[in-house]
Amino acid sequence: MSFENMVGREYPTVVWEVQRCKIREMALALGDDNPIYHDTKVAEANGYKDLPPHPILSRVGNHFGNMEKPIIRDLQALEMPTMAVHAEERYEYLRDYYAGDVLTGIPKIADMTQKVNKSGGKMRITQIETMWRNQNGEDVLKVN
Amino acid sequence: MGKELYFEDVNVGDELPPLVKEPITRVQIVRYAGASGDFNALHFDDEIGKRAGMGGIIAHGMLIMGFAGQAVTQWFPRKYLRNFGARFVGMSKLGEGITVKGTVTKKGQENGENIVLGTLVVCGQDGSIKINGDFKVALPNKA
Repeated sequence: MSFENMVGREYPTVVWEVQRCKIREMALALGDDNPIYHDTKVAEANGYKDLPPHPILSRVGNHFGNMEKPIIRDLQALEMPTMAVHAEERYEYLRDYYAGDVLTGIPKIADMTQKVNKSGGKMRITQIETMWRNQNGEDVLKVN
Repeated sequence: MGKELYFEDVNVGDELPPLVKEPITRVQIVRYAGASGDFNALHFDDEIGKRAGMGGIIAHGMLIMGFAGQAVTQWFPRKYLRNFGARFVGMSKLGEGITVKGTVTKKGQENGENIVLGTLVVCGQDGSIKINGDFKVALPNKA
């Protein structure tokens, strides 16, 4: 396998049960006191079905589903990096989702590029694309 | 909260009210690790942080993007958010006071919706840039 061959490769499906306690916990960790993330009455008064998820909440699905582990393992098998950092993250919000929804994500290697950083070091950028779908098979959130 | 924001209320060039966060604490990083499930030792083990050349632990990039998300959903109701992106350009350490600034850059129509685009810059109190980002929201017209 080569780095180029990895483009297009899909990795194991991750299932994420969205929980209300995680919505509150994420807002508390961020220090976000916006009441829509904490109080269901305020959320409903503002047109939400329940507490809406924080814009970055799907990280919970990633990490607790060990989404990145097999990808990192394959990358390290080809070449062990000195360090791995998060370069970019982009969310496309397609449909509302709430606690009680069960989202399924299939990660895919969307692109592989190489760059040289400011200090002349070599960087390999792996773009992972995940489409999260709900229990009705509807596209909910596209993450890159 | 509860005040409806309309497409007509927003203008290209508008500087959105900066979100100024309290300095990053070790407990905040721990809470974010627990909330997100990201238990990378770079974020709680000073030795690992030092060995990686950071001088100690660093905050998760996504914690800082979370601050940017907090700002965006203070500027615009969460239900109107359509796209949100960030490029991580600098690390954040303990004690750094982060500020999120945003600017409206474009207004238009897309798929039958009123679209507002903007950029955001997330900085430390020394002016160092942590994140360059952008957002897209769809706003209703005044009745």
